Amino acid sequence: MIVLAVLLAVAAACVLGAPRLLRLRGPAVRRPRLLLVAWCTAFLTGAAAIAASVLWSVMLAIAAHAEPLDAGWLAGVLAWSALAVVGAAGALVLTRAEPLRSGREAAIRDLDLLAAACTKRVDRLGAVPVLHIRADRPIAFSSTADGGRIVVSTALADALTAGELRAVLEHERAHLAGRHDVLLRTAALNRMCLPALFGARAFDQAVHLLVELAADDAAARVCGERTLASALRRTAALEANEWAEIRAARLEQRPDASRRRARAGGGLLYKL
Amino acid sequence: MVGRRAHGQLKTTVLALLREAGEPVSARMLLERWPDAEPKPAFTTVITVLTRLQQAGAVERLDGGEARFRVRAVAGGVAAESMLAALLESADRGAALMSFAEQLDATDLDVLRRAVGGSAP
Repeated sequence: MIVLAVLLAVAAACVLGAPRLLRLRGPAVRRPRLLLVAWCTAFLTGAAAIAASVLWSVMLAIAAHAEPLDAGWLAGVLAWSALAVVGAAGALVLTRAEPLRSGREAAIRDLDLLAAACTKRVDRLGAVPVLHIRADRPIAFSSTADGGRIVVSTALADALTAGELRAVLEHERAHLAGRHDVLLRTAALNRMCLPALFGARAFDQAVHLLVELAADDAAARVCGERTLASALRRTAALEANEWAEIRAARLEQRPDASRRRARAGGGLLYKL
Repeated sequence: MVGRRAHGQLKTTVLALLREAGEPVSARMLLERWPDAEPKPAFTTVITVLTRLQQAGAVERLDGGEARFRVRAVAGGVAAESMLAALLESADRGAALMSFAEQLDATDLDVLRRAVGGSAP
């Protein structure tokens, strides 16, 4: 029973604590990647604690020779309730996930159509194919479907210098390498299952924004803050975008990457 | 994962070859023109990829002695924009794409402006 109580306490702490961990404050904006890793750890620990406590209560119930109202009987009630809750939660998640799943399938199909009809040429960034598509909208995005692809429109690629384009591509590659799509879908699913009550909307928002900032940091490490900031500014000049301007300002506020590296040591934690 | 990546690259290569050909080609002809730099897939694999692309509407099949395929023609820039719009719409529903410079709504921007402003040294 004590083990069960501890497991439940850990689960409750993680479930209630994880979203609070991800508040958008100064530290989150400075260290988006660290925050995301911390959040994932809390989330996985919580999930493991919940699974372990259900298992433990079932084991207690099986091991005990139950007399009404003694500890074994209580464990039996707990075990059955826990299994019922798990079943109900599973059904809820499966039902609510349906639009997400169908949207993703439609997106994969639409991307194939676009790639078939409008691709001008295909480059590679490391192992990732980069599709240049003929389109007037300045846009770049990536999708993990089919092993990962980056798409950039000619309108954007033509407006950027080679260095700036590389920074954009590195930003997208960081999304793919970090499996940010899994985080984004988890947060979206969370919002669909738990309405505003548990701060699910704020949580989705925070994951969305931190993932972008983390990808910016990864791109800046490769191409430099200045280059990425000017890519963001130029993108915003093509199609008004305040979010891009805010991200550019965040990068411009920072000391130059080379000076930071000279200070040394600080990079270690960052590579988590 | 390896399988999916391989499938994605096959799709990309098949589409590139179809576009280069400029005329309807068969799966056998695609294999003959397969780039040396990439591992050559089995004939049935190419047929599978072509069939999936056909089901998606990206490729059309012309029946004859030997089935030939070509990329479905799209008229000009307007079509590209509408295909892009359709993609962005479905991706939004499925949380399926990660954009470089996404458009955010006013409340998101408010939160951010405060968070980023507060982080100034």
